[in-house]
Amino acid sequence: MRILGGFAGIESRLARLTDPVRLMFFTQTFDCATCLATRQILDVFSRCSERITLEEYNLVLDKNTVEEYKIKRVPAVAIVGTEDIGIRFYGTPEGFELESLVEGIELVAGQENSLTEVTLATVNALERDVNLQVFVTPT
Amino acid sequence: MSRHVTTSVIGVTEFQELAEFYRVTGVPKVVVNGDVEILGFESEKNFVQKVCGVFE
Repeated sequence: MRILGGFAGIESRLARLTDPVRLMFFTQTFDCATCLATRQILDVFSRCSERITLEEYNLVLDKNTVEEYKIKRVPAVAIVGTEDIGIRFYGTPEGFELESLVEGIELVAGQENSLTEVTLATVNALERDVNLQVFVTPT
Repeated sequence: MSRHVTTSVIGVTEFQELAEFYRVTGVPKVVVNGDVEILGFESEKNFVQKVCGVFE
């Protein structure tokens, strides 16, 4: 798959998923230069595993879903497993950011992660909300 | 994973206004609760300490 060129490991990682994952893609008809490219990448991802379901929502038309998942801009992807743990990807996941998308998918699908027990204990002990905005570039 | 943590990955290229608002001059940059900023790579231990330090 050309889009995943150079990232051959992605296909096999996605194929190993055991739990269902919803890729909820938010788009809009006008004034979104990268929505189409994002959709094409997500199409490729969804073809890598029967566990991945790709859904498309319109920022303007699907107001209830937009509000429920707190989407404010497009292109956006809510990565949702059996429950929504609040992982969003804003922008086109290309270049090295493909890896971020794959890791998000693996995380919500319950795959093993590399965090230490200390980290997990600390995070699980949080009693107040933490919102992380991670700014990235594709390369 | 904690229900208290939400994470958004944001492409600077597409959302330049947001990046300018948070004064993103390099990546990765993490903004915690719209306030605390973590610029560049941090070890897992340091990262967790800085994120949790928001409440101190």
